[in-house]
Amino acid sequence: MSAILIDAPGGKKVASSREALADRIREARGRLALPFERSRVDTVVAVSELLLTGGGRALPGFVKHFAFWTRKAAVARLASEFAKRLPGGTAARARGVVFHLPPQNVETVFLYSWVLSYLVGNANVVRLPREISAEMAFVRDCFLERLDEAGDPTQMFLHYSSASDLGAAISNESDARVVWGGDAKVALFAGVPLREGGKSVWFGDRTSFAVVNGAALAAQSAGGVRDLAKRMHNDIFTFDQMGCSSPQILYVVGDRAAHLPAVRALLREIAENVLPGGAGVAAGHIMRKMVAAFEAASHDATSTIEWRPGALTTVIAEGAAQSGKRIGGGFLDVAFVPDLAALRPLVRERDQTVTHFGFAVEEIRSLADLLFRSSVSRFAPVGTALDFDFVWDGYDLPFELTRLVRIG
Amino acid sequence: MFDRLVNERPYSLKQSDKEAMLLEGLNELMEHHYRASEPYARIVDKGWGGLRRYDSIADIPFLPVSLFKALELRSGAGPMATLKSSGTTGQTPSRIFVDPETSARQSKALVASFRPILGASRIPFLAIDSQDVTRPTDLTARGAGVLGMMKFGARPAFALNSALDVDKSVIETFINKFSGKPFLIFGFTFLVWTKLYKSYADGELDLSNAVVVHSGGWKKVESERVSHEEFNAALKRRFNLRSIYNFYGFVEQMGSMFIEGDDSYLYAPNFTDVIIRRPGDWEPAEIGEEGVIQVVSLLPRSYPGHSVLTEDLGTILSVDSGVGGRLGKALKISGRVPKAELRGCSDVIGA
Repeated sequence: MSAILIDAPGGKKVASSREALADRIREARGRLALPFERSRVDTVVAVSELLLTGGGRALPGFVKHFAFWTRKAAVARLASEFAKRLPGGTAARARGVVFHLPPQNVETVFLYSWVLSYLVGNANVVRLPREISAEMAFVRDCFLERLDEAGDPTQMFLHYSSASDLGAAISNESDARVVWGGDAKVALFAGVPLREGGKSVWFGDRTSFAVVNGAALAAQSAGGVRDLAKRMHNDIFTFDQMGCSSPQILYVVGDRAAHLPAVRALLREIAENVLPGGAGVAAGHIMRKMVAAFEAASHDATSTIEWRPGALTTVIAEGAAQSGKRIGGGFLDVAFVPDLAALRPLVRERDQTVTHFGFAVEEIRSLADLLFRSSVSRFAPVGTALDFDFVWDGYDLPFELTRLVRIG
Repeated sequence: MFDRLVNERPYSLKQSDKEAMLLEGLNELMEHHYRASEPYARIVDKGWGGLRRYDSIADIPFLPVSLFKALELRSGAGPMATLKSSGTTGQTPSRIFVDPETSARQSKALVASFRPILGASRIPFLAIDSQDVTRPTDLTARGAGVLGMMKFGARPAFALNSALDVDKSVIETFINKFSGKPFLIFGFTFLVWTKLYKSYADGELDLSNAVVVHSGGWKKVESERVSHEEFNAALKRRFNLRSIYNFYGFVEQMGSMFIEGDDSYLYAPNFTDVIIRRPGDWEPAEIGEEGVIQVVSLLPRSYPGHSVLTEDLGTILSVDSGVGGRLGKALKISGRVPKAELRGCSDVIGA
C-alpha cells in the first residue's frame, strides 16, 4: 500500500492509512468555519507578522511578498470586498473540503491557493511534492503550529507517490478541487470525479507578454530606466521566467527607428546591471537560449539578436512576429508595433497576463476592451507580473471556493 | 592553408606559428561560408555584427553545436552526403552536409592524425561494433569513424552482431590469425568497456600487439564509476595491452580529432585550435581554467562548421609543452555541460 505522509508541527511527517485520512477528511467537513471568521483571520495575520519581522531568518522575496499579501490590512480588505461582492439577500458559506494540487515547481502557489480557501472557511487537503524548499516548509510549519495549538485538524498538507491512486480517492471525498500545473495535469484530473458532483477550478498552460510605450521609455531619465529595468528583471527572472504570468515577449508601441536605442539600453540595463552577481541561469540553459537565438537569427524575420552576456537573450523581430519559442530562463522576443490596437491579432490563444508601462489608465482599459475575446485575464503594471491576486486566470477564487445561500 | 597544415607533421608547429596560418585560413573560410550559406550570413550579420576581417582566432564568430540539430546548414548547392550525430531517441540529431571535397579532407585529416600511432601500412582491424553501423543510409559519427579507420585497417572484422552482442568466435578467429603482429582495435569507448572488457576474464585473451583506439565520451563509463585512469589500467591488466589511445571529436567537426598524447592529454591537430570560454560572457579563459570548449578547424568547407562552441567542458593545460614531442595546446576534457532544467508552472503529477 502506498504511504501517505501528513505534515505535522515541528517539521515532522506522520504516516497515515487511507482509512484514517478518509475519516479525518469527513470529520473536517463537519468543522467548517464561516468565511473570514475571526480566528482564521487572526491565524493568517499572526503568521504574516512573524514573516514580515523576519521570523529569525533571511526570507526570499516571494515569501516576503506572501507575508505582505496576508498582512492585517490586506486581509481586512479581502474580507470587506468579498462581503461587498455578495448579492443582496445572500450569505456565503464554505464549500467543504477543498483538494489543492499545486504546481510542482512554482512553490508559493500552494500557499496562496490554500490560504484563500482557508480564509473562506474550508477544510483543505493540499498535496505537496516530496521535497519543498526550506523557506516554504518554514512558512507551512508556522501555520501548522498555530492550527495544532488551536486544536484544528481541518487543514492537511500531505505527500504521496504519483504511482498511487490517492488523487482519485481524495477527490472522491472533496467538494472542490483546485488543479494547477498546466494542460497535462488538468487532463489527468478531468475524468476524476469529486464528491457529489463537486466544483473544479483548473489552471492550464498559459503564456504572457509585456507592452511598453516606446516614447515614454525614450523620455525616461537614467534613474527611471534603471528603476524600470529592476521591475522588468523581477518579472522576467522570478521562477526562471517559467511562471504562467512571466512575460516572454516585449512589445514596444512606437517607432523602431526612434525607439530602438532606448529599448536596447533598457535590455542592457536588465541584463548587465540588475542581475546580482551575474550568475543567474546555468550554462546549459544559456546555451539552449543561444541556439534558439541563433536559429531565429538565421531567418529573415529577425532583425538582431543579443546573446552575450548570456543572462538575458533577446531576439528583436523585423516586424511583429516573434520566434514563437518558449525557452525561459531569460529569453525575450522583442517586437515593435505601431499602436496598442495592433496587439489584437498578435495575442496568442493562451495569453494570460499583460504587463504594461508608460500608458494611461484609459489606454489600458481600451486595450482590455479590444481584447475582450482573448484569453487575457489580467492587465498589470510592469514589475507585478508574478504578484498573486485573488482574481486569477479569470476566477474570483474566494467566490469559486464558497457557495451562496439565499435568505429570504 | 588546410593542406599546408595537414601535411606538416602532427603537433610539430609552435602555437604562435600555427595561429598565424590558422587565422589566415579562418578568415578565408569565414568569407567562403558567408557567401555560400544565406542562413549563416544572417547569423553573422545579426548575432556578430556582420562579416569583417578578424585579427585573432578568438574573434572568429562561432556557432553553438546544437544549432546543427535545429538548422540544416550547407555551404554550397552541389550534392552532399548527410552525416548524423548518434542522437538519443526522441531528439533530432545534428545533420552535417559533406561534399566530396570536405569528405576528402576528412580522410586526409584522419590519416595524418593516426599515422604516428598506426603506421604507414594497413594492419588488421577489429572493430568493436556491428557491421550494421557502416551502412551508408543513416550514417552516424560512429559508423563514419569505423569507415574512416578502414584506411588503416585491412580486412575489418566486426566483434559485435546486429544486437550488439559479442561474437566471441569472430574475436577468437581474428586473434588466432593476426595476433603475432600489430593490429588495430577501434570502437566507441562505452562499447569497448561493456562489450569487449566485460566479456572476458583477466588473462583470457592476449591483446599485447593491439593498438586500441577509442572515442565517444566517458560519460557512460563514468556512470559506472570508472575513471579514465581506471579504464586504461583495467584494459591493460585484462588483455595485456600496451597501447590505448583515446581521442575527442564530434560529428559537427568530423575529422578534427584530438588524440591522447603520452601525458594522457589531448592534442590539437595542426589545422585546428581550441579555445576555452567562460560560460555566460563567453570570454576566453586562462590556461588552467575550466570552461566550455570551442574548436576551430580549417577542415569543413561544405558546411559552416569551422568554428563551433561545443557542450563539453575542458581545460587547456599547456601550450607547446614538448611532452612526447608535441607542440600546440594540450586539452583535458572534464565532461559535458550539465543539462539545465528550469522550474515553472507546468508539471505532470499522476492522479
